[in-house]
Amino acid sequence: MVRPAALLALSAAAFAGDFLPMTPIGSDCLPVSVTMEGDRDYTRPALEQLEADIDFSGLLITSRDADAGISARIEENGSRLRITADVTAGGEVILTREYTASSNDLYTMIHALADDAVFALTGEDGIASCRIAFVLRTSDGYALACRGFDPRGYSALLRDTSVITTPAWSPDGSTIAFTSFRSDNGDLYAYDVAEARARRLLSRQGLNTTPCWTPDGASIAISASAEGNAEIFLYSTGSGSVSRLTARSSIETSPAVSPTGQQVAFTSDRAGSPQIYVMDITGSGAARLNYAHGYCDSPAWSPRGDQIAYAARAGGAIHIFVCRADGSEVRQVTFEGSLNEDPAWGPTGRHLAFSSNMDGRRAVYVVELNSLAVKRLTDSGECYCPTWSPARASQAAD
Amino acid sequence: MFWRKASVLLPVLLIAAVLVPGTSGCRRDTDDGSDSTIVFTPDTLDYGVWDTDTLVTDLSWLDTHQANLRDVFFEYDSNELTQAATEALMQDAAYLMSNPGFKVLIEGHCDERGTIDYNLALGERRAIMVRDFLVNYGVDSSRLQYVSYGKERPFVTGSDEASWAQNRRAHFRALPE
Repeated sequence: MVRPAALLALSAAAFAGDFLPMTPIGSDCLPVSVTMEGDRDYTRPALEQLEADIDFSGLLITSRDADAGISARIEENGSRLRITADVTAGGEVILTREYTASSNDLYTMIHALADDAVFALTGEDGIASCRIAFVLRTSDGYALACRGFDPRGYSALLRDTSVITTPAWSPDGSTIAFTSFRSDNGDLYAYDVAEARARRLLSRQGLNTTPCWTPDGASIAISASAEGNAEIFLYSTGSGSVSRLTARSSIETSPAVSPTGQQVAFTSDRAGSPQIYVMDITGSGAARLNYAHGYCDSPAWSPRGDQIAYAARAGGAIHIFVCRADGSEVRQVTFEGSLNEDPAWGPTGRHLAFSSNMDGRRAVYVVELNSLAVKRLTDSGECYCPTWSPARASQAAD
Repeated sequence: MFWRKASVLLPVLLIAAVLVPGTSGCRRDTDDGSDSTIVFTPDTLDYGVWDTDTLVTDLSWLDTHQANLRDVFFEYDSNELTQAATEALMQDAAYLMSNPGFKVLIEGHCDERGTIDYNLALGERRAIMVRDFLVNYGVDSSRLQYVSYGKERPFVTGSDEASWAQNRRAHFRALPE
């Protein structure tokens, strides 16, 4: 289900109060014509998925009339599929690719083709091959689950009857940090994606929660309360040592490390209510981000470095907002539902995942920030706390 | 059926007899080292009978303590103790002082309306408030532990004030020492 956030904004702006709606980021999308020929059983789902990936990229848009094009052919060979594709710009072929995989991996191949086309035509990474991990809560308990942008559904990475919460995917995609309460304590765990196993990192008394990786993947910023009340710490994954960044009697939580690794945004209620602050990675120089809201939490720093997303109370509900990294130009992203939180930027800074109860039960949604189209990603159980895998590394042309 | 149950129980009981010396209800009829058989007749059903499910220390006495400890409820966005909360806590403190021999885990919980990250820390404040009250009353602090679940583990699902009020609480769990 896709619903344009801009349309929602027009109808809801009258009730939204003081906030301007989010405006499209970046330039207009490049029109691309997409064709798919070949084995009849596969051309339709392949074309549909390719068009969906292109239209959600925030960089390209499908169009009948276009200077750029993707022409692909899909063939079945036993239980394997082969896709051959040309990417053209201005009549010239700029990329020729071939993909082969089992028929189960049709969507994986299409995502790879879409990302390769985005990179060839724009020089930027696509996000079609990304997966989003999230917490899934059902009557059976909690799961760390993940899924991609296609009809394949989710896979449960870990299940437990105890609480799992605040997962964070590492920049290299190898590990998902998260908090588990299976020992009646908020312990920090690392799930190894390749080994499909979790091991415990920190079990100091109290909370070891809301992990956020530094861009070099060497450390994890967390909120931990072993020393009396919740403070921001840096946990070194290599040495296992923990260094403290904040020292206040108030609650300090929800750290978000900047893409330069030099700053940390976080939530603190030192002023009486939870607000976003920004400090150096050394812990000095904390300054409040803005004075636009009475309650803010869950900051997320765009990979482009120029914007910070967060959740804030507005008009009796909690909504997603984005502002510049200096706190100015606050814009409202969501207008529906009463609980929109956990914003997570896509790896190219052109998408935001978040959880919302706009359709009743909490689910994970993704908004593409050029068209402001909102897509719902999950449809079973109660889903929240999204975190992105990194973009598929752009491969050199063959 | 009885005999089959007895023969399944036999090795289990022998192990139990080794591991839990002196526990009543587990006796060997012979001491000559041969496989002894423990005879179950309807007359002896009410003691000396072991269900395979309960071959762990019986902790049902903890349930009694837990049922006697009243949970403490909070106002929205607050970790202050209300009048009603204070009264409940005074009863709990008195109960704990007169009933030693077990530990207490204080769970702090929040309702769904705040955000996940902040609520994890807010729940901890609630648990600490309760812990501090009990310690000030005289309960031995080494008996008390706390954890915050934030809004991650609600007691009641529902998006109305009645449900929310049920979820803003400090919950007590009795644990063995």
